Amino acid sequence: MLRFALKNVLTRPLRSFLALVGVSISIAGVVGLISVSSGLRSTMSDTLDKVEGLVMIEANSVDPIFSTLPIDYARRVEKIPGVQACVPELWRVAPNVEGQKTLIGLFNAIVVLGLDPERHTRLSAGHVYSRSMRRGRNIEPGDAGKKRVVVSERIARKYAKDVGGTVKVGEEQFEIVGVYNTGSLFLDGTLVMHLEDAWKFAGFSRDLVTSFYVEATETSPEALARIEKAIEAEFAGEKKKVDCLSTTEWQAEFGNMMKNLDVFLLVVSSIAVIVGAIGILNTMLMSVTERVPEFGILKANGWSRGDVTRLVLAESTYLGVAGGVLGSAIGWAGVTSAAAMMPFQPTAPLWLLGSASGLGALLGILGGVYPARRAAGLSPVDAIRAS
Amino acid sequence: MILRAVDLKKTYAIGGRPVEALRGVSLEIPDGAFTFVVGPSGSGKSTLMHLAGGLDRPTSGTLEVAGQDLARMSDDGLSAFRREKLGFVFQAFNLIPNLDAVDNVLVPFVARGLAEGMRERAREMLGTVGLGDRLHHRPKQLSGGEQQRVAIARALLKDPKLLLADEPTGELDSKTGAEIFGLIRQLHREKGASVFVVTHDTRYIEKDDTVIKVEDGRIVSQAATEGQF
Repeated sequence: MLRFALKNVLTRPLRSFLALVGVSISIAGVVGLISVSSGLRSTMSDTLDKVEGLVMIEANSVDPIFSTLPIDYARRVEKIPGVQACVPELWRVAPNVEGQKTLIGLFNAIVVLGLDPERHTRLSAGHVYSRSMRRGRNIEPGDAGKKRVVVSERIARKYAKDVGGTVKVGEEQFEIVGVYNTGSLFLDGTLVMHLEDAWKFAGFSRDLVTSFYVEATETSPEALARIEKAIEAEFAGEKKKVDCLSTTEWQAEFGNMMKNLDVFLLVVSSIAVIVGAIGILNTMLMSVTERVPEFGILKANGWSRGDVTRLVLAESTYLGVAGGVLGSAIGWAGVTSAAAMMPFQPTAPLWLLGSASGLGALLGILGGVYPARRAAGLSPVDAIRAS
Repeated sequence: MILRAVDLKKTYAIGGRPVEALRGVSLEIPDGAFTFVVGPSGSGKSTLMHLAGGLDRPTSGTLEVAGQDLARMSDDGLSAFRREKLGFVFQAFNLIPNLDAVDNVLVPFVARGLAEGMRERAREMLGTVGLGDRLHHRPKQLSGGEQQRVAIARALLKDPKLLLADEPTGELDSKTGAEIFGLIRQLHREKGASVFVVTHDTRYIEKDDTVIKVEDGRIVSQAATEGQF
């Protein structure tokens, strides 16, 4: 019967092709959307894996960029039991680099991080950037006021710069002393400089920073949660209260954002799936309507309702599977081509391609149920008379 | 008895109006008979064939074919009955357009997954009806007579107890019609199958055939012939 069903699909090439196009575009769309979402998750997860401590920012400021805190908060934090080190950081958006605006696109922004290398030596694990050096060296205490920066591999490549060269940030020229590469989309957009230079660059007074990186002696979520509470309590009575964010909380924040994206993906994917199923339904319904005498012949020759149902379902499943496989291939090709042009890597894993093909089969079955019932319910006499 | 009908009635609703196609038909046809059902258009002869072939259900009455009470059979039971006991030959040939001659002959067995094992026999049957060189031609590539031969080969392969033919020569010229009847007679002779032919073409009736005349949904006569009708 499967051979007969396949023949029925192949001997109506135009109709089958149109159904195939409908299903494959739907499936390709689903593959593309899920790949983007999956790539985004994996990029964020890579980033968060690299940050083990707590980030302390001004309460309700969402991001270090929008936060301002007194630098002497660090000493108070370091007295809290369980805190290994608390190092100040100054984050600012670089208005332009080499005369080019950098705020174009969510993933292309370049930020400046000012840090105090002396204090950073207190971090037992080191800072994420110092751990990721590829060439040259880290910012050192002697770089204070010397306008030296460490840039990411991505920034170096983008502006065709390297160790020993200079890069213009805003109106100032900085000497590049090192190149790092964390491999994270979000972290690799940072120009690291001495806190002294960052104060000048940002126009901040020397008693202010934007945030603190807090390293704990224990890295278990429970220990971090305990320290986080203690820090927030320490500054609860101050005018400038603080929020501490751990990797878990960043993940939760990101998870909330992704939940909204997932709802959007679900809606768009559902629409695509419904359109695909309607495409198959339409094709099969037309096919069944055209072939009424044929079903009469089959029934006269002993085909039961179940046999006819299976035949039509097999035909629609063939269309769905072919559409699913083709759609997965188109989706994979699209994702692979898009990956070269996107700042993060959308990923179409094998399970996604397999599931998408399976979804095609499901669409085929769903789209075939009604036409199959219709064909199976035909009276043999009426069907034969239709010829 | 290959067929026994008692007070068989069939009423259709056409445009909301009941139309009585059969108005109480009773008949008995012995095993192995070659039966013609004749009568004018709209007399009810095709309805009688459809009921005998389990293609439709009577409104009332009793209908036994090959020892089975068709009125009481389930849909699946009727399907199995048609598949195993009956052969059909229709006026419009009724072949599947996208299958070649061999696959058309195998159609009754495809759903049960038996077709592959019978492929060789299907070829033989097509050879028997003179289509040994047309095995892989599709219906469009065959003449009317050749298509009807394929339909006969399809019926032959089932080795049916009863062959039902509805105006089998209606779309054929006289010579081809005679050839087709020759094949049906051969099936009747060699396989011992009972034959039930609905027609208004009486040229092919032969000696010892049973002829049933139907008019206005009733049998007006039933007799065995003793020569050319």
